[in-house]
Amino acid sequence: MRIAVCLKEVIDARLPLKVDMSAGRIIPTSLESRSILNPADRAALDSAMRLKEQKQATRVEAFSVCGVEGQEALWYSLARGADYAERLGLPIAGAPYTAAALALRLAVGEFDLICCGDETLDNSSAVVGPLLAELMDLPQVTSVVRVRECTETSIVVERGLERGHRELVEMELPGLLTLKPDSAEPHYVSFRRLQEVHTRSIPVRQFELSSADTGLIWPKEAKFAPPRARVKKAFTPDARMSPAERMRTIMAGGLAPQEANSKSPIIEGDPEYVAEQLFRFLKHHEFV
Amino acid sequence: MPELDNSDNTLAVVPIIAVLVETHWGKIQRLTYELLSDARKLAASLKGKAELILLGSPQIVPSMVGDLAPKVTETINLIENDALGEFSTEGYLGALSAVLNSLRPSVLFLGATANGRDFAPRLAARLRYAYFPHCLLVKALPGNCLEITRVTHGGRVHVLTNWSLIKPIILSMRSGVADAVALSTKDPRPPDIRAHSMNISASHVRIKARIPANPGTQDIREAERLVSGGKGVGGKEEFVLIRELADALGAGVAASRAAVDLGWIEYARQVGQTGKAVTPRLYLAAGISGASHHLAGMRDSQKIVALNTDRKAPIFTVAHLGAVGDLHQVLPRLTQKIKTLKGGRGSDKPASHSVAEI
Amino acid sequence: MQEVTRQIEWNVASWMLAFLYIGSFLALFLSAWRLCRRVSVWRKGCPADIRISLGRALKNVADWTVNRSRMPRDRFAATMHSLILWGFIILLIGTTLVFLEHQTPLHFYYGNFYLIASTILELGGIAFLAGLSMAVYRRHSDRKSSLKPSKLIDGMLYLLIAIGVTGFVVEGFRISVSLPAFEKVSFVGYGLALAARRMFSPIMVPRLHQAFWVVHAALCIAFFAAGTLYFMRHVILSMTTVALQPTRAHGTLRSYAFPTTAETMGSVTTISWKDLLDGDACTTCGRCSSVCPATTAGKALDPRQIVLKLSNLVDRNIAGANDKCSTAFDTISDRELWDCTTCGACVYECPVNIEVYDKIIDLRRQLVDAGRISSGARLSLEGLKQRQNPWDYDPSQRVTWAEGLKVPVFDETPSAVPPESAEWIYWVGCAGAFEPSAQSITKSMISLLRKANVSFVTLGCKERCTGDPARRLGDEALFQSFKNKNLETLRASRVKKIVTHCPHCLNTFKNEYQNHEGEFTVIHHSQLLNTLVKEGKLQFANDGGSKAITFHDPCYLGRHNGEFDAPRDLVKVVPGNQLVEMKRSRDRSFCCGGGGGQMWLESSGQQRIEGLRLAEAVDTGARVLATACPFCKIMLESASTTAGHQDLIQIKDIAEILNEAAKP
Repeated sequence: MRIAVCLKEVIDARLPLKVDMSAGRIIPTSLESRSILNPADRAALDSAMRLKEQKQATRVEAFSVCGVEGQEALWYSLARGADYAERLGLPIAGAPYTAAALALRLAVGEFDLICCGDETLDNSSAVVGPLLAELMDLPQVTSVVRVRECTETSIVVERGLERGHRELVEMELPGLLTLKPDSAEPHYVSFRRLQEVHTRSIPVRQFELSSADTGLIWPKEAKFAPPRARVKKAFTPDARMSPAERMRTIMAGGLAPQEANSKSPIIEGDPEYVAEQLFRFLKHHEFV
Repeated sequence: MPELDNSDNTLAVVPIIAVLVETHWGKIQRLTYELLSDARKLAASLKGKAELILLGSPQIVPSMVGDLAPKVTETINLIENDALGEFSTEGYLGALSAVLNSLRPSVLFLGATANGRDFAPRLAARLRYAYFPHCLLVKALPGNCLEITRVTHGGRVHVLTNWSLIKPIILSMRSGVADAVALSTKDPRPPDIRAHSMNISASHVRIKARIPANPGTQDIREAERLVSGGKGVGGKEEFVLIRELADALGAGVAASRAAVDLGWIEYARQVGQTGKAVTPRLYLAAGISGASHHLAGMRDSQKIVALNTDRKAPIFTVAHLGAVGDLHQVLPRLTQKIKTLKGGRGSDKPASHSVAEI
Repeated sequence: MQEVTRQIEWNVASWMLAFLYIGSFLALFLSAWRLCRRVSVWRKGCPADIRISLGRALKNVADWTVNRSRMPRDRFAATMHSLILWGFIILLIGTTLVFLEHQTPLHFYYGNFYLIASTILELGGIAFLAGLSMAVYRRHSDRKSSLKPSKLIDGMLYLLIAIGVTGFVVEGFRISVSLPAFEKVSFVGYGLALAARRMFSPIMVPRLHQAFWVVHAALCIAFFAAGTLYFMRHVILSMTTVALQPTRAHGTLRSYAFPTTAETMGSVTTISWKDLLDGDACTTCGRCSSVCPATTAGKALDPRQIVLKLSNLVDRNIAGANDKCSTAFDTISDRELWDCTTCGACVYECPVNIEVYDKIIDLRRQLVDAGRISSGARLSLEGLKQRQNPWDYDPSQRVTWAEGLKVPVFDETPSAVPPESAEWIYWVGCAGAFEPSAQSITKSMISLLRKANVSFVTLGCKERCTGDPARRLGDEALFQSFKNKNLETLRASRVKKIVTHCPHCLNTFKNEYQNHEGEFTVIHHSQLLNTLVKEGKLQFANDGGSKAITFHDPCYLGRHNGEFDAPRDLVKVVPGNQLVEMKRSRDRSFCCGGGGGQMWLESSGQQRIEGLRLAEAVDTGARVLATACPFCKIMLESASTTAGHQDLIQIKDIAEILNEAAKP
């Protein structure tokens, strides 16, 4: 069984970010430009490698649509044990173009299984996986939290829904999976191995997909034409606030957010009173 | 940046704002009413009409309609098909393609749920709709435009985009943001139900089993609610107070490092830097002082409630509600109140499960 | 008048001599062959990080012979061993003299020389037996010893005792034939001779003499044959390990030649030949285990076992040379390797200079290279890679401790200070920057430096981890990358003197950043503060109270870098402080359990190392436990919270104690 893994090197959005308003760009504030392999993609790679280590897969190949700076992800995949890694170059960035380039490339590889991360830390759009499946006319299972069994013809996975509910799903191969960040036990790749692979050069394949083709980006068949909207403005609300608080800030017209929670109420009193207040809070927020 | 494609059909005379009814294992989700609220506002601004789309198999549709119909006035576009008993990408794509081709809405609202994100990009590709994932807010602007606020970078960046409704759009919305529409029915007339049909295509994906979440055993990172105990609990036996409250709340049990180190509870339940990072909707910390390594593991929880005998405990700096008190006195009383409330409802399911929230 | 010499030839037949010489030769040959087989396995080992020089080797052996290095750390054992060793050597010399006298043309063994030699030999024999008796006692009755029961070693001891006793008996029979007066110098033999005279007839005596002579010879041959079996190897090999003892500073880890992908993980080819030699040289005394904090806390790790398991690996390689590859990981579990705190107590106790914990770290390096690590270790290593600190904190938070303090910083901000303007770089380190408990150390230090008017600068966000956790957890290449980047930063600052409050940072800069060739001098904050106090730049208020304080020696400051006194002087210099010593202090200090990457590893076993150390501190009755390392402080505070001792004892760094008492 041959597996293809789609990787993306992204900015570590878990660290504080600065937004360049005019250019609509994100600038990480930490010491070095911290880009990491998207955690969900890493889980996809680890899941694929696990299948290979268990001898259920024969070959794992990694692909990434990126510029030269995104090659780190591909080197990591080689250090992790992938058999082959290739970079796909595109003049235009954007999820639909990424999916189209991948679809063109992967069609040639005769892969039985394609593993992608379910969403990226930066755009969080979760579009590339399903779109890729659509372009390649493959069945898909998204939001995978665990790969359970695998045979030559089908794969059984656990799919994660909200509130911790799950479904056990079986998909016929060839097919596509999108995996969540916790879906595989992360494997540590030592620095020495990473250094070793950096001496290898990663082959590049250029794709010419441009928006000049009146919105048609699929050179063979017109299956998808994604118009890209103009970004009006981007701002960063205080990440320490909960989503509801951030919402209030936005609705208040982007005014400066208050200091989070330093003035939150503290109740005191006898146990009965305290219990009653807690109960009312829970009831008000519909936890009971 | 690529330009807008304005070459397509003009806006329909009465634009239809469609809402996909969100269901989970045959039960209507509250998210539906949030989407409906957004849709109604938009319909009002655009002088259009909101409509609902409901998918299901003949076994589950009657109960869903029975639940839904009394609460809404909008037309329900219904597809009943055996293939729609469980979620399936192909099934939903086939059904929605049929409905949307017939209905031709300008906007389709659906939830940014695991299922929604699964099929929405493919639906958009097939029907040549635009697709905006993970939206927070939609606002109508003059000239049949929308201002859409999207969330990226893990919630740290909001991207505002203008979209002209010349081209139809699918919007996948985050839950918990909009207020659910008021469910009172001033209009006693039941809504119209319009049936559609769809082609069945063979599916290569099959759901073999449903695995409901068990707050008692599930991984704490997946729990929607957690009751967490720390050093203040005082002992292994006393941890039963935490467990009982968790049971009453349908929550999972978690602990601080001190409690795990002292052997009162297993390491898998440890929250913090050397344990797990959790982001539940509710995190109730009892007897936890809130050392920095613990806060690092839970400060992104949506609602934090803290109970501690020490007024100066650092946990209060992140709590939405803090209480000073002895958990051995307070928790049993709280648990009792919750049980009384659930018992008083009389229904066979506890109140927290009647509208299974996403 | 008989000639004053040994009367021997009359009763020792040629067949007996033949038996002795041929038997000995064969026995020695057998032992040598066994040893050679082992040497051939050592040679399969990978290169060792060691520079061998004959001159230094001889010097080491001479040193050891004269002052016995680590032996005196256990008086009973030292005495016992000296008696056995020197007794044996004297007896061996004695036998050689007899051989020379009677088998070669040399003629010297007579007259006064003979009398003196005989006396010495007698004393030697008594010493030999006395030492062996002590050994038997120690093995069987001494509860406190770290020895494990072993029939083999007991057998060896009884063999040696038998040799000693039969030696005297043979001498007794020899003397009893003619009972010359001059033989009274061999008083034991003389006494036995008198007894023999009484017990046996003159005809029996020569027969008994021959019989016992043969028995004695047979026992000696047996001893030679067993000379390189197991524990007995230490007789020869211990001199080798002493000769080859490392010259690098205590706290430095070795470099390591990583196996190629063709080699099986943990096979002999992945272990250095020195480690294999060490394994065979182990005396099984167990002193390393008796001071190991992990063993004391009941964890899986037992240093003696690790060393012996390597010897066992050599055994298995000899036995199954053509079978499937035997590896160290067949017998050594991952858990044992992760328990080590690198405190170095084992190395300090080992009487034959075995590099004990270095073997553990080298095996860890193999585990890390294969990705076989726990999630705690992984998070720490990945945090180091991505965020330059082992706690995976957001790196921009590195300077939040300095808010409002107007600390001089050399970085890219507008308020940066020109670097050459400062005399010292105050290296804050990751703990001091991120961990609240250690941040108070940093703040106290800043306050003290200001009070003493020291010109210093900090590096703010330009600091990154020194790489010590990476090295201890086993990712050597990651450590090297930190080293290179930090050296760049330090050079760019153009300040040559570094002071730090963290002994781990100190050790890494001083001993492990080997490139800097004396470019920088690094000292610990206790050393700088000591100097400042002596120069009168810090004065202390006397609040009149008196407080009992005990001091915990950090492993990385004390054992690894030899500084025991500076922090103690500081404790004592504050008026009212009474220094109380814990039982295990100075180079016998008991680790806090935080080193070797343990801060980020999940702890195993029932007891916590830090709990044991805190209990020891509480037992002294002191109300304050002074530390000189942020890791020690964090670990001991955690132990205090767990034990509920927060009101009983306070844990403070030296800088905090000084700052509280120092006048502005």
